[in-house]
Amino acid sequence: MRNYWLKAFQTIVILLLIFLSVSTFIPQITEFPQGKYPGTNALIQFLQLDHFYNSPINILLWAILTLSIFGSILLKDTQPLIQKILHLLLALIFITIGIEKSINHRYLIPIKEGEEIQFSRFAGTGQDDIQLKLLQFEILYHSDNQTPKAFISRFLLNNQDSVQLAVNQPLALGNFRLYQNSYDRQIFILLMVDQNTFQMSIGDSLILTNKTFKLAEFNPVAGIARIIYDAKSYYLETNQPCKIEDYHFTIKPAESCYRSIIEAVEIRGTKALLAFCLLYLTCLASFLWFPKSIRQKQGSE
Amino acid sequence: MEVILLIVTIIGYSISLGFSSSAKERPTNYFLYLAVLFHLGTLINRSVTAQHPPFTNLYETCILLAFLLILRVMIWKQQFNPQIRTVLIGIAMGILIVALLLPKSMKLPRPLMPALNSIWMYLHVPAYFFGYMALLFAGIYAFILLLQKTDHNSTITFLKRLDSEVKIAFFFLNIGIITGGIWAYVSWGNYWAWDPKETWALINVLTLAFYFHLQTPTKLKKAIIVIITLLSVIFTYWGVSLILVGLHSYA
Repeated sequence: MRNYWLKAFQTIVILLLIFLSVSTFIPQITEFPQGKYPGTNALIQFLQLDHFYNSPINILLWAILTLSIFGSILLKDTQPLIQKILHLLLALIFITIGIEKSINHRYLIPIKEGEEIQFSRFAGTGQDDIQLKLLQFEILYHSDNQTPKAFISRFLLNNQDSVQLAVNQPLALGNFRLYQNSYDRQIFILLMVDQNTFQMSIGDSLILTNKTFKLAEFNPVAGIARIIYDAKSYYLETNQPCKIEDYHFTIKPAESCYRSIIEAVEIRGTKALLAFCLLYLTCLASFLWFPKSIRQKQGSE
Repeated sequence: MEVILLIVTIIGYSISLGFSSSAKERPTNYFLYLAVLFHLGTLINRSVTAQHPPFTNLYETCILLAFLLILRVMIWKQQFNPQIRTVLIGIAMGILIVALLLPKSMKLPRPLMPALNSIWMYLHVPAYFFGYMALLFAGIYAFILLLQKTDHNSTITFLKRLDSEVKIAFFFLNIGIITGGIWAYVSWGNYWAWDPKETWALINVLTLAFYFHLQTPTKLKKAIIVIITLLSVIFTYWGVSLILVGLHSYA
């Protein structure tokens, strides 16, 4: 019985080692549908190596590993207590990770200064709604080379409480924790069409008498915008009028603005996971160095 | 200044190696201590220039790892016979030469990115380097055991030392993984993202776990497992940084 669990452990670990190491050399295309992109080897697809980490094979291997650990605890009588506790904690860590990854959700929330959002729009129904208004987004730079040192978002919660969010300083909101993920820059242009002026950003479309004009690109350095109408591209230079259909278009650059990108993460079960990890380290130290720990047979050739 | 200090350090170690091979202990130790002082100076100079401890990229951590190796050799001198000391000094010198030969772009001191500006860096990175150092020592003992065709009196001693180093390595690799997860959770809200560096760190722990799960733990099996883990760690440290891309790309 002792050997059975040990053999199971050894087999599963070898399989995991092979799959995990090979997968690091293959681009993990988790955002694309399986097999719907060119150039993927049939064997790689069959073994799910191109999306191994979220694949059923990976989950199954870890599940069998956890079961083998439980099996060794329950059926291997010669294990000392500290070793059983160590294995139990390891199994609990794997189980907690599995549960936590499946029940907790994550949402990316881009928000610009002055914008107000309802948290329930991202967090789904059932969540006590919270209004978040971004008062200010600030980037602090290193003085010597102007690379970002910190990103800070200052919010107003429910029009009452002022809070601050920065990298390494997340904010707790009920079952969620907000993280300062990153930021981007939204570039705007003023598009003047005959007598009317519209503020647009890249990707926006303008509909004029059932005709759709899309701002596909804008190069702020060259000052050139690309507008698509009727599957044709038109290039407009800043302050240079251009006729498209019956309209006269002119573009002018407008002020760009930063958007803070925050990530809302559900945190159910993470405290338990942290506790198991810290207990595991303590038990590991006890097992490795305390004299009453059982030693495996020290054989030699 | 830093490159000069590094070159002087390497010269100091090489002179110490030269005397060590001719079994002259006093000049060996004299040049070794001198080299260590310059080595410490390199680390301090780097920390002052970069305005953070030397933990954040391949160049800095190579210098740090070599320093930790030499420090251990000096403090626990009695544990190592002169031949093993020579090998260890040679390895430290080799690591420094690799650091010196890295491209200039990888040596430039850079200020910390927002995610690196965390107290967890002071736990996660040193834990890993203590683990790597112990594994390197274990690797040397493993090679010695493999090269011994018949058992000597020293075999049991080397086996005990191998066990001791593997325990240290395994413990610190586990601390490294867990503190890394906590740091990632505090920074990004995700303690595990299957980043290549994280995945290979897990591979190292799983491989070394085999050492404690052998049905019949023989000298040969133990030595082979340690050497495979050492190769895996070398790939994790250098290969992943230079070949594979991920969240740890700044390292």
